[in-house]
Amino acid sequence: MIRIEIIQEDCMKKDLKTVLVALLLIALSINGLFAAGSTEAQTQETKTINFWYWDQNGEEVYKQMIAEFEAQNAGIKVNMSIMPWSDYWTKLQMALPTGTGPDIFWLNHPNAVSYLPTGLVMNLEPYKDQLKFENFNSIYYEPFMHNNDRYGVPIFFDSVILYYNKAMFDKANLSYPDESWTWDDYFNASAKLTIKDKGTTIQYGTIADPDMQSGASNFILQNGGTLYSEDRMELVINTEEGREASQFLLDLIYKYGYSPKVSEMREITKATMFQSGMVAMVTSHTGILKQFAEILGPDLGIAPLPMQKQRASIYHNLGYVASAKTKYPEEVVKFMTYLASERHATLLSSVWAPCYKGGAELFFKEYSHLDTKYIVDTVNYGYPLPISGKNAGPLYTLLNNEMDKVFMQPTLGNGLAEVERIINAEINK
Amino acid sequence: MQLQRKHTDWMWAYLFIAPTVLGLYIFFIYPMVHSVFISFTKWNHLSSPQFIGLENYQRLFADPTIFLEFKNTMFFVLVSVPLTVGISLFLANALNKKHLLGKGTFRTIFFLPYVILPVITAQIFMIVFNSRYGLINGLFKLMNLPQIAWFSNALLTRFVIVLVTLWASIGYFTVILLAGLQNISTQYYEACDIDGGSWWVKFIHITFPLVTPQLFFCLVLSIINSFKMFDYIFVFGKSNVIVRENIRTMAFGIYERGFTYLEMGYASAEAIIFSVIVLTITILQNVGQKHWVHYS
Amino acid sequence: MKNRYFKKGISVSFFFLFLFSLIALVPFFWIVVSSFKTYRETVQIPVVFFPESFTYFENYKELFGRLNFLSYYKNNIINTIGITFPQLFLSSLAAYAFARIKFPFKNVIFVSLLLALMIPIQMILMPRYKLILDLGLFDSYLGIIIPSIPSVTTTFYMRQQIMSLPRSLDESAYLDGAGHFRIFYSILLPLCHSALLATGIMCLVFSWNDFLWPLVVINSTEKYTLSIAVANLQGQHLTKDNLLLTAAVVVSLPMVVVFIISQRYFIEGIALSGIKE
Repeated sequence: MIRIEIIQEDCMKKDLKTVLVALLLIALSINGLFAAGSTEAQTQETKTINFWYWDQNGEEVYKQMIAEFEAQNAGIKVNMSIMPWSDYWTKLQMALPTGTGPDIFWLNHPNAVSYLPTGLVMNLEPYKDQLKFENFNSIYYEPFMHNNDRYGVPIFFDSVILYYNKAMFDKANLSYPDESWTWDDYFNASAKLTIKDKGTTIQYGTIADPDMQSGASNFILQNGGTLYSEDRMELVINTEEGREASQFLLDLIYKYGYSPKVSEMREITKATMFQSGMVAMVTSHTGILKQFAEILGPDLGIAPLPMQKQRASIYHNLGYVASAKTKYPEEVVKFMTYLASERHATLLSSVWAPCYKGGAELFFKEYSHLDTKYIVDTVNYGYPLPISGKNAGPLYTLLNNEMDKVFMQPTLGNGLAEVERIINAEINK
Repeated sequence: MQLQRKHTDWMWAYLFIAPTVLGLYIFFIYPMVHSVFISFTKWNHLSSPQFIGLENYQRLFADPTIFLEFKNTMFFVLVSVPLTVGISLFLANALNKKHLLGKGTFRTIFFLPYVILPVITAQIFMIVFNSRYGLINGLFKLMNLPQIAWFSNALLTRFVIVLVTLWASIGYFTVILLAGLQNISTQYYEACDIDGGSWWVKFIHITFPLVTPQLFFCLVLSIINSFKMFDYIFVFGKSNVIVRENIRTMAFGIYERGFTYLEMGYASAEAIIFSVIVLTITILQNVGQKHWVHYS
Repeated sequence: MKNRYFKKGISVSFFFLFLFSLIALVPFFWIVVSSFKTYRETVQIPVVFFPESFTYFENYKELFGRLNFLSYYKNNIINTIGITFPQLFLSSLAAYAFARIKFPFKNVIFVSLLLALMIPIQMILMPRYKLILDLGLFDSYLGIIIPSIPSVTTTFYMRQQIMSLPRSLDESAYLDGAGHFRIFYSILLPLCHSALLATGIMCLVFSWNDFLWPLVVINSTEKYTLSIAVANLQGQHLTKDNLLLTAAVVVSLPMVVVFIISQRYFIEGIALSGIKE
């Protein structure tokens, strides 16, 4: 006969299993409680609207705003959810069409192009009297328009400026950049601020970046070049001015070595390089001001971008939009009205630069030791983020990728012509 | 022992497999079928899918990028799988010795890499291999070796990816194989000792044959996982577009087409072709197992 | 003679094991050390290996205070336990049937299950999401748990394990009057300790770290899992690396602890004495 001797431990294993099964039952029942809990929120009396956005920096300010709004509007509850930036759009794409997504959410320029024509976003034009769009500069709500109707309430904006390290300028005995700076001044300063030590560059004067928000696009425009055509259905970047500007930046990298190469810059990131003292000047957007100010303290200086034939700075802003499929359109409009108010701008200004007229000044009050008037001025020569009229999100990514490739060669060649060809082929598909 | 049981047997069998099989069919296979339908359409997530027939597939077979992705996928599979399984087996074998000190500690340490979120793993290794301030280049400096820009070179980036894949997954397979090795009765080894066999003999004639069921599992799984190579391409390829274009795999291409460029139809078509390839390889393995896998 | 073989084999093994351990541990060392750094120290070039002060607890305070990581722990535990134990049981059950019982279409069904592994998960998110909506499970724990319970990997692995157990065990139990379930539960399963533990831990870790599916299912912040919370730390333009690395420590720690504790239950082989075939 067969005898099997099994060691004692397996009895223990059986007991362990029973315990764990019990735990599971407990877990499931707790879960059952929670599942029930979430649906209870929608009772007859309170109407819950969901608000989605992607930046954790806003958490406290939004909590405060929501508390205020709820106190003033009995019967409405606002549920805010912060979604990770990396998957915000994926989540939105899935939830919005099925009506299980947000009632109000953040939208940016490229995605406005994709979302507005779909009918998934609520038209706000009927509510213009409550929302008072005249409190915003039109450049901020234009990107959120479709068929001449407004669909979004502007939130906060970013424009592109020149950040520099005062300590490094002092050390090199250079005067700080200001509104008189041209490309020549910029170039000369980069030269003087690049320090080499035994063949390795330990400090770069500046960073030449092909990025279409904070880099090359600004320079192309400053030189009188163009990005997209008026109707945005064609990329017209391959002009003589565009080529000149691009070669100017390329030379900074390859001919003179005043700027790190693109791949090194992307590896470490522009912001990190500037923050850790590897670079003296960097062109970047205003959203990062708070961060730089924290790290660099009194060494941080800001200036407008240098000009060439004209001034130019790319701006971008976000908008609050609403779901067309919302169950509570009235309540949504009420919250939108709050979000379009001065009160909202005042509270928001502790974190970002609001689009509301006069709001930016409030934001920059905290940084009054810096020359923040330069940022406010950018409104006068701002150009919108270069996006196509069709399929804007994906094409913006593609454009940046192609520009990166162009900037990995020391000479331009027909790089820009290639970029034009590729992008226009996609637009015309 | 021929069985009256036959029909009740079937009943039991279907009952036992029901929860798992039904669950998998509902939550995995049905969505896959849905994906097949999408592959015959043009869809950007927001509007309704538009039927376009075989257009996506035609485009697929004419697209040079797809062939590149296929080649790269095969590269990672053919390089990672033998290394992963081989090293895991070696480690599992080393851990299986009776009188080895600190066995439990080693086992814990090897498994730990598997525990970290892949995203964090990728970030950590980006820092380790960073061209300017990474650990590796720092060590190189100390040894008077040249500084290398790892992520600016396609071949080097591939090397780093294989290394990181090994780092993260060897622990998993080592634990699996170790469990298998521990099921082998020590009697066999003792008998071999009495006959004066060396460790090599023991390995070839006892260990290897008896661990083949688990080995088969590891092989199938590591092949499937290698095919799905995505996270590291995504993170390590971020800094250099040209490198990224060079090393892109099918899984990466599918994701990029579907979610960055919003061409779900085209991405689904590639995903279907991808699944067919993996399925074929798996079936071949399943058929081939008769020749080398020993079950009791 | 025997002793000499033993000693040599063991010291060589020990050397390699030690070497691999160092390689395995370096990144862990990195994240633990980094969790005590300020943001500035994390982004400095040249890289700062050791923080100025090992008592810089601000990162941890931020994670557990303002960012509320403790409640996400609760969610992770609920999901993980809810997935792992049913999965172990149901998959082993199915594995037994595939391994031991002859029934029509067995092979076809088994291979078709492998299909489930092959499609990249992003492709099936949308239909799954619709399913969850129709079942009324969205934004709930069950919505995460139920689709994650069926597993090809676990079933496949347990099938291999059971197939390697001698059939004589089944047969003698059958002769003693046991039905399929008894054979499965009382005889074969207990013999699969190590395997169950190994695959159980894999499942535990996988469901603990799972990101994409919980993200799709859950809308309410209270029900977020740790992986979603960590992703939220990565901003559009800037990531606070020190917080991210601290989060890495905080999220991995429970799994590490679980694995260490489970070491005790790994059995050193089963003594099967007296089997005559």
